[in-house]
Amino acid sequence: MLKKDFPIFSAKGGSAFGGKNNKDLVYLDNAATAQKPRAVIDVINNFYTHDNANVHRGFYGLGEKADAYYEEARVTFANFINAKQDEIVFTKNATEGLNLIAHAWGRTQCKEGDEIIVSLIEHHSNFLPWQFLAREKKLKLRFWKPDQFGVLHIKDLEKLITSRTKAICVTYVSNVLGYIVSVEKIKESIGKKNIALIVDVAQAVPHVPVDVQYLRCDFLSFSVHKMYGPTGLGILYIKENRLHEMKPFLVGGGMATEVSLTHAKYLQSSHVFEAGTPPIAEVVGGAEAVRYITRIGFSAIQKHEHALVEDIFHRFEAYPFVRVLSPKEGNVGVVAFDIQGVHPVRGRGALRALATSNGVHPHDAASLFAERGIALRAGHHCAMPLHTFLKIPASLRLSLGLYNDERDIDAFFKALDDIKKIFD
Amino acid sequence: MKTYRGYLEKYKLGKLPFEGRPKEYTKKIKQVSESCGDGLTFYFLIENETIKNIGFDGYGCFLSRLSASFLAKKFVGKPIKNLIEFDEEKTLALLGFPVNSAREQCVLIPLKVFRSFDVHL
Repeated sequence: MLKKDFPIFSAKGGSAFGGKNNKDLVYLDNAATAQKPRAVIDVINNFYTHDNANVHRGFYGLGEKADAYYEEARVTFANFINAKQDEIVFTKNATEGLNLIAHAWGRTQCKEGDEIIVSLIEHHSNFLPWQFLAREKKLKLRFWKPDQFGVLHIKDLEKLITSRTKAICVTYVSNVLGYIVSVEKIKESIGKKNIALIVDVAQAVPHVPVDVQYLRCDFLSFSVHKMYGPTGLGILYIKENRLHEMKPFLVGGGMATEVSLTHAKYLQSSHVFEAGTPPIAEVVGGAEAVRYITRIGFSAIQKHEHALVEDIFHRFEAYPFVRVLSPKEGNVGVVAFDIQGVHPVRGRGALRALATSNGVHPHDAASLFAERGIALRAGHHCAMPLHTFLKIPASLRLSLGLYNDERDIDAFFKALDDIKKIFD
Repeated sequence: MKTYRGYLEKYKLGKLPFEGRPKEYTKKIKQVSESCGDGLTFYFLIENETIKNIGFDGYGCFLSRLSASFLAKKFVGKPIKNLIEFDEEKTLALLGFPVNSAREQCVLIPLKVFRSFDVHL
């Protein structure tokens, strides 16, 4: 029903699917980026049409209005994740936010021999900043391993915490397997130790409420484009008592209070991390995305997406040649799978298929789905450590947005039937 | 038959011509794709600057394997020089059907092996 809010689904002559109208588009790649509702597009359009000016500089009407929109948006995002206004930093994306923490906090607070715990299910954006920092500062990375199905358990984390642990870096929702990690329980494992909890919520924000008080985290990062807002904007939450432990990240305009030829004094607030002109229109549009989600409500979103997830897992049972990699429990609508061969897993055919080519390569399957107007993703999804751990080179991933409906799921399984015929 | 689907229907999940490690070879080159992590290994039997046989194996998508198979067929019996000089455009044309830009890199994985050939000689 909600597709009517998203102009892309009624665009004529959509180019992505062989000239078909986009009404035939079955968009199941929401974990990569979500489509944008008209409300968000209109707000960005209106901002550029009526209110465009730089922020924090203009002593004129337009500038004041741009300022007001920008700071109101900060409040909107703060409320969205139950944080304080000054704990919100606008970044480019989730990746930049996580790099900012590693650079501005990690390089200041971690010294040789200190330990950082990183889960093995992380997206590279919450993995590489820590690997990079560890190599540079001679830190020890300790890996929080999942079980054989890729599921993280808190009891396995507890064994890794030592007196040298400085940070625990983990995702709230796996970008491959789609399940929710019990991040809210981690603080109990940390106890009174001074360990920073750093959470990537990029895949969580479109699907479940994210509350920094509930998660009891110190840092949290996400991209706005996955939650129906514009690209080019990320949100970084910095708990206020961590701010004094940090040094500036980028230096330049808007973050210094005094500049001489040899020295500078910097802002003492989180605004110090917003050097240069920020993505103002994106911030204003991003706040509209928050209002759009809030209008629909997470209870309605979760109910709708949960019903689709139930249906997808149920229908996959009729396809023994499909190996579903994601757990159903706690799944927000991100389902990874691969095609093992089109014959039942037990039997000569399957054995022969597996022996020769390990089934249908995810890239080929994704191309065959694309021919049928279905957008989903194939590859390692920027989670190579997880794929290596699961001993699979690549996987297919379908991921839901709030506008997906039963017809999309029907189209997906119809295409899967059709692909099966090729290999029968 | 000269379509992506046509070739998939023909070969299904089976081996393509020239796929598999030959018993006899004088040169082995592995290429891992930087973009997807897939890896194909080529085996060449070379005598007097001429390619007597080519085989390949590894983990790759159908397009990369089909391209490898076509290229192998084209260059068996030919001088090594021809193989080293083969370019992107000719490799895509050899496939005989169009692929979208995202999949072109799949088709070109074998070419990277050929490009590194002289270095390995």
